[in-house]
Amino acid sequence: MLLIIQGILSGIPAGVTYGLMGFSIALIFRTTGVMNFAIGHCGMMGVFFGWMILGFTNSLPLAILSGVVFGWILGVVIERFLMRPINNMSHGGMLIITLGLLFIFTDAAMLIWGTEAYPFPEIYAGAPLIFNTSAQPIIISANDVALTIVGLVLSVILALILGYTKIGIASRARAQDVIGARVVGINTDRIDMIAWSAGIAIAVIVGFLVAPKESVQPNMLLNLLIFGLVACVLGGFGSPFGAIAGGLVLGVLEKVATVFVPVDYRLAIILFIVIAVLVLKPSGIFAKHVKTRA
Amino acid sequence: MKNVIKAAILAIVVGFVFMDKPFVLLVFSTIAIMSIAALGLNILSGYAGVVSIGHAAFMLIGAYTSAMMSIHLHTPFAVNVITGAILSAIFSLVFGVPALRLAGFYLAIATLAMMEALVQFTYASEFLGAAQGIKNIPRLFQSELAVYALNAAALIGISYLINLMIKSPVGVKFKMLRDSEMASSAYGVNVSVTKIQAFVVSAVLCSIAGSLYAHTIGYIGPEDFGLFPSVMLLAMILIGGMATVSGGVIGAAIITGLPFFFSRGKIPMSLIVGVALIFFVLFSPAGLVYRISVIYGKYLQRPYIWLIRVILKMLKPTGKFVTVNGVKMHYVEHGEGQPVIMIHGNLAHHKWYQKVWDLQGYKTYAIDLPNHMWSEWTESVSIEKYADFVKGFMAELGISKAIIVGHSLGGAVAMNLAVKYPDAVDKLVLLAAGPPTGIQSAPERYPVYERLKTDKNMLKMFMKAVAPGLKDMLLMDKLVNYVFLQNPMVYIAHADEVGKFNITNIKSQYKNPYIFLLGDKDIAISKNMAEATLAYLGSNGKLIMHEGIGHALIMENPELFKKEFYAFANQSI
Repeated sequence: MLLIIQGILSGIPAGVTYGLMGFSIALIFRTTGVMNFAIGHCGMMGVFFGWMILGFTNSLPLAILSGVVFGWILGVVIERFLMRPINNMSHGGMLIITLGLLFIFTDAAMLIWGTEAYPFPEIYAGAPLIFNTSAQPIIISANDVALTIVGLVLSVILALILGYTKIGIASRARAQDVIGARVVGINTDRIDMIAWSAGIAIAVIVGFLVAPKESVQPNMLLNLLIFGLVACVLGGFGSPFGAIAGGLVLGVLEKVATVFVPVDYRLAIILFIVIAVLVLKPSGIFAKHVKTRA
Repeated sequence: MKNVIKAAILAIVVGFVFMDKPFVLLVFSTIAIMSIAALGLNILSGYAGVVSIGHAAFMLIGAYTSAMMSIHLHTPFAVNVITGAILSAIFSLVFGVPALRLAGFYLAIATLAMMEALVQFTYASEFLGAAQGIKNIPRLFQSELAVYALNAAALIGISYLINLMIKSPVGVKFKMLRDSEMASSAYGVNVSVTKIQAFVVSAVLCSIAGSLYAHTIGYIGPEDFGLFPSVMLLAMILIGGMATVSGGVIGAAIITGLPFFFSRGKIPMSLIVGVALIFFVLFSPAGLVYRISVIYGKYLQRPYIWLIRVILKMLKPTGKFVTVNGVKMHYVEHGEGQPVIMIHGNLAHHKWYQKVWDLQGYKTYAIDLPNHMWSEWTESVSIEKYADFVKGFMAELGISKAIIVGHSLGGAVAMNLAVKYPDAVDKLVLLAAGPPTGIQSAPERYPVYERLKTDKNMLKMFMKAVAPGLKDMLLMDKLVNYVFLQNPMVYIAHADEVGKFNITNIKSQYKNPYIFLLGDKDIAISKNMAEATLAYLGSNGKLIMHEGIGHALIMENPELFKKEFYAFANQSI
């Protein structure tokens, strides 16, 4: 029982990062219709940039801020110069283009920063929290707590933005009906650009959150890309918040699964579960009704 | 079969050239193996239109099955390959039957998850060598040349079989599925079964490639079959050409081969691949195979066609010349008796009548219309002017009345002649003639007409479609060669003219008998068009349909033409 509680508690921080990654994928997908397989590597570019700034200034907040800004600008560039000219292309074509971006960013990072894995400081380095229980202590690292708080706060902020600001409402309108959105005076190109930028900026933040564990290296977010996609599958691609919930479920499931199966097989088993979910309920376990994009 | 022989010769040449360079042979072996896998993915993604980004997983199954069996059970290679293929087929069924219900992105993610699950399972499994992989897999042959020969033979054999499959009803179903699931199910294609077929075939091919890979390289690890190899497979078919058998080979040669030859360069391979992926999706989605064929058709045959022209021009015209309206016209005459004028069609010349110009009791004149073969060129073309040229030709030769035979475009000319100068036409034989209202060419056909100028292969295919009954390819080749002597302008101008042509505003004064001969396999002239001609020319003629004949009766069945001609021309009015 305690093992399961420990699993849940350590699964939540991981789940938050999966969920945020899924959120950024779902945000871009829902708004622009593009499944961005390069999202992890876009985030990685931002993290590398922030890491470089960290080397110059030794200031963590400045590094994170500059990384996020870099990610935002990267989103603007990708949307304006690559995605906007081809926004009437087939889904398959878009998918292949983002796969091409993935390759380009991997090698660009290798060319600029090399193939080494660089360490990155934790956002909050404190003593771990230890709860003594009768049988076995439950341990939670301070960074994980900080990470969870950051992730949840970010989620709430995003929820408020999407739900209550003009831009958020406009983006939901764009997602539902692009022509209708244009009719009521929404600049859909601008909304697409913001979705790309915000999505990549979130991916950069996820990158910073996992950087202490994964180190700063070109493929640091590759696994998170897969987990983010999985979170989207669980939560449904239609809703960004479904993705966060899906991510949390996935994170907890992953850690709790280690109680029952050998630790090495947990990923394989989870992925098989995901395939099953995908097949049984393609709209996601949290989605109320099936809605496909044309 | 011809392509198989060509490919085999190429493979043998490569083998002999690099006989004492084992490393180069290994590169070619790898290219052949990746080509097989790419061909597998091409069946699924190119032909059936299902994008998978996890197909290296099936290579993993094949490779690991093969490696484990040969190390632990010492089974022969053939058994390993077949076992791997069967396992892959089973796995693809288990995964595919439920997953192929998904569409587009969801299916892509499902394949990604499947691949990642298998890779992670391999990483986690101690008995599969975990992250270290399996080393020292027994090689099939000691000599690198023999290994290369096996891989090349496998590629050629599989390509041949797949080519057969693509042309079979199953392959057609795949393509229907890609173009529209809804339409194909309306045609009675079982969408899910067909998708599963494509998926299983592609899985089996990838598995075979995996087995070959394991035994050729001798070392396998889970990272050989992860996301990057899967995307590389996708890149190969995209760069080479989706839905082509040879596309995967070209793509594999570029993506697998280039790193070996550019290994000293600074720019990493996957950067090139990434840029190439985006470039090809944006600017050349049909891939390199298509580009190459276009370049071959548009430019590479030009010197050859130029040579044909030069050589043919050195030949002496076989017939006589007569100047009509200031243009020298060429004609050949045969026999003695009542005059018969034979007018050829578009993309043709007097030689089209060579099988039928010996007619007992008739003097035949097979002419080259202006702009064609030995006749001089004119500034502009029109069917009416051609009719005037034929009239002028008759006047110059002192023929006041003749039997006119016109084929296709020449049929329209003959009809025009008969309508304008009814007295000059004794009897009229229309061979699959153009209708009095002309035929409008679809705009997308114009590039094809343009290509005919520089593409002998295409012209030949065109002719084969026009004259399906002409089996003598040597004669076909000759007929096609002479076409290149014609005025380059008329490829397009004739299509324009046939589109504009309309003589229904002139009331037909033609009262003499006529026949219209039409084959039921004609792709240019339909029965409706022929009936329109009959309605226009009046009741003094009849339509005779021939079974199994295309657009060119005079070439396909000259004896039948002669029979019809005698029956028609010999009867007294």
